[in-house]
Amino acid sequence: MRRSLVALVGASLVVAACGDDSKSSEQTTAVTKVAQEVTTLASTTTVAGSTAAPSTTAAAKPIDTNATLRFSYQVGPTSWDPARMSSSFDTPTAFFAYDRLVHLNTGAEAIPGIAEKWEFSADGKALTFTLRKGVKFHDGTPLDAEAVKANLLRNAAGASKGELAPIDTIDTPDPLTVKLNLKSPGGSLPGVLTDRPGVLASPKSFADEAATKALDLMPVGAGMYKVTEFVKDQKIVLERFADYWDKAAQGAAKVEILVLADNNARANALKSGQLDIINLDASQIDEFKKISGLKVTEGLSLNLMHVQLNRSKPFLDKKEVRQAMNMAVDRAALVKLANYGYGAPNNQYFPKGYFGYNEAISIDQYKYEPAKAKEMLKAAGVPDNWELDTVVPNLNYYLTLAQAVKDQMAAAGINLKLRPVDPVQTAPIFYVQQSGDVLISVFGGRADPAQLLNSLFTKGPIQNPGGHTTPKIVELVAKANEPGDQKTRAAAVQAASKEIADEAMNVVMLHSSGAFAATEKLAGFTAWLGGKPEFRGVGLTK
Amino acid sequence: MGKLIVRRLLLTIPLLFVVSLIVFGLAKLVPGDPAVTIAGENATIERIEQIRERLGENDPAIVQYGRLIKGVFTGDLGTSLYSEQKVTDAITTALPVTLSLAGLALLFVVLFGVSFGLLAGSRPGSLADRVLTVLAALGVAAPGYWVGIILIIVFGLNLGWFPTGLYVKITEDPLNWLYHLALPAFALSLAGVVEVTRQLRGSLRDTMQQDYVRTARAKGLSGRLVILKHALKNAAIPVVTVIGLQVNALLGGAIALELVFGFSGVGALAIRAVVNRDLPIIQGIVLMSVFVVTISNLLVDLAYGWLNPKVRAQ
Repeated sequence: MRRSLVALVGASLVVAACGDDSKSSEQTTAVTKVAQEVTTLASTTTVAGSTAAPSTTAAAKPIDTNATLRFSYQVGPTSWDPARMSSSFDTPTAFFAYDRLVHLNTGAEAIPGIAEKWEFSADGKALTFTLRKGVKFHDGTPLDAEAVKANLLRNAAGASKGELAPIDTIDTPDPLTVKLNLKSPGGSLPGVLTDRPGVLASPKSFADEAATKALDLMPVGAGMYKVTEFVKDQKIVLERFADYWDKAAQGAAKVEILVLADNNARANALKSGQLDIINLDASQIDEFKKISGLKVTEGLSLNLMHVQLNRSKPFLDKKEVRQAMNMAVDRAALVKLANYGYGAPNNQYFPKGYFGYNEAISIDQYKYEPAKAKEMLKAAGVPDNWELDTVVPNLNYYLTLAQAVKDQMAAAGINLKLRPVDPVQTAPIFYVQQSGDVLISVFGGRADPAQLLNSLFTKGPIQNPGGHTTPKIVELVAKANEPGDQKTRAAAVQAASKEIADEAMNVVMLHSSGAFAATEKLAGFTAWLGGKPEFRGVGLTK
Repeated sequence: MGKLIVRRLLLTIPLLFVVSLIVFGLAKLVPGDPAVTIAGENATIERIEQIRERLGENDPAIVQYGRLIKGVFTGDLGTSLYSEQKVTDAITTALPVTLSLAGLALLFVVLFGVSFGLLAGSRPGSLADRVLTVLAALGVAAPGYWVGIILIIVFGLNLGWFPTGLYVKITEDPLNWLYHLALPAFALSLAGVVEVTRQLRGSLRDTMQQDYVRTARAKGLSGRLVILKHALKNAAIPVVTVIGLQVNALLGGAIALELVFGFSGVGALAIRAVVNRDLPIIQGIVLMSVFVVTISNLLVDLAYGWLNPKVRAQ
């Protein structure tokens, strides 16, 4: 048990440390799926595009608006202060209490939230949001343009420094208009603002030092529910916020969130009726599918497992060598071995169903052909039994996965010397010290695909140790960062993706799956491709 | 007695000092960088450096240690590296959970341990003695967390008689508090019950063969009176030692059971703090543990005095 908690917390840290957005898979799995995997009772329909209203709920049975929804998740928010929130594990619990300008739909596309619409200027150097009228924070302060400005500037100086870097200055010509003046292309900003960087707190809550300290432990947001009790890392109790702008989103009168790190403790509490919904580990999915009275929502997420290469190390700067490495892994076998068959093999950074997914990249582009891979390596001058210092977070899931990859690659003459490291140390070792040749770990989906491309494939971000890239990739990633409509941006992201796959920059192996189990009474819950479920319109039937 | 208490409490000060030095040294030697974690997922080098500076991580180790010690002496154990949560708040929130669990388990240890010990020790070789001896052997072999899991499966999930976990505050609902604690406390107490049963059985059997017991019997006192009034007090000394040791074992064992039953006690807090390298919290927990152990040892010593006047005289 103890080990499992360590593993869990560790997993979250790897994710945080690696700059990943996900839960890693061993204990993790706040991961969810594309919108086709839907719960039977109801569906939350969210429409892509910047005109749709975010939540309309149509349940087969009427929702009990007096009910208390009991949810358990493995971690609570790292902080309630938006400028200090540092993990994407924060959002599934934090978004009950906090709202943002832009929301994501279940297909991980940006849709209006507090902002009714947004628009880039013709030259792409400004992004203007139009806010909804009459929105209030929980303390009664109006959520107007000045409040948004204060929050974004503050978040940009805090934990969201990297994500909000394109913002230069902010103008507020009227109370409902916020104009972001950009110093670099900000195509990813609407997506970025759906996540932690876009979280809005009442300006009064960070007006002075004492208030700011209090904000760390008690949110003053504008979300669907207002926190009435918070015990750090234990419990969050919330009640419906009477002045919320979207009543349809508030399915329950009260919400109780329990932070339970242990998979089994969560599972037992659900089975014995003490909870309504929990997140599952991949290893638990089959078991829960068989339990009557409970239902499982399972699906693919943006979180992926890859062998990340430090391409500044010997031989790894050669394209043919990297291609050979891509041919030395049997992706389908890895999904079965490490993920209990859940998830999907992939050789590009975005999963099927996501707008960044490129149909033109064949999964067979790099088929498992160890013999051919061996020849290619030989031709490239790589010595036989080529040793690679392989950093692996010291958690069961990653060790299992890494061992499987090691066995597969051995057939191609590649000798992965596995170096298990403390999960917390993964980022310091591989990214900051740039020690190790390759890293086998998770990389979490970002709110906007251009963020992932930027971090991994341009020179500068710490997530690209060695800083290797190619002029063509730099150009394509820059295009993906430019503003545009969904279609234009999808095309730009896909083009960059294609080049990254052709260059075999890393060895993408699979996209993880994630799942939730809930009582039959739960209504309005669907799988979220972003891997971070929101509970808009989720409630319990009578 | 007063002198003894004061002397023992004063002795804990150098002990706490040495322990804090060890904890600080270990935390600094173990690799890991809280700044990278705090900086978050899209960290920049600049941001990491900024955080290191804020945390005072760039100061010499001696300066960092000095800050920590100064805090201890001023009653301020500091704030978590990761939040505005005061270390004292974190501990005082988690401690009632662990103390409830360990306290109830201790009650079970004393209650069941002494009862079974009396039953077995007063009539060595009887059927009850033999059954209890076998059960004790089984009890020693079964680790508490495993028993906890079995109890959850049987009484929580299959029979549905008890909740499978989740802590309820005593101030919210005392009966529910007890109801939610029953299974984990039972699982936690098992090893202690066995230990006390065996100790008491052994020492009672020896005591029962002493001359003064024979004399008491010869005077025509009833068996019950002989055992409870004459034999038990003398037989209790080794048992008190065992119970004192059990306090420490229960606090340690509570960690595993807290996780099995989904309680957010000191164990969960400690593990999180260690994984995160949250030095102020680790330090706070260790200092608190040293304090609790010292107090429990002190209580044991005082109990010796009560049981055995010779100790008091010394």
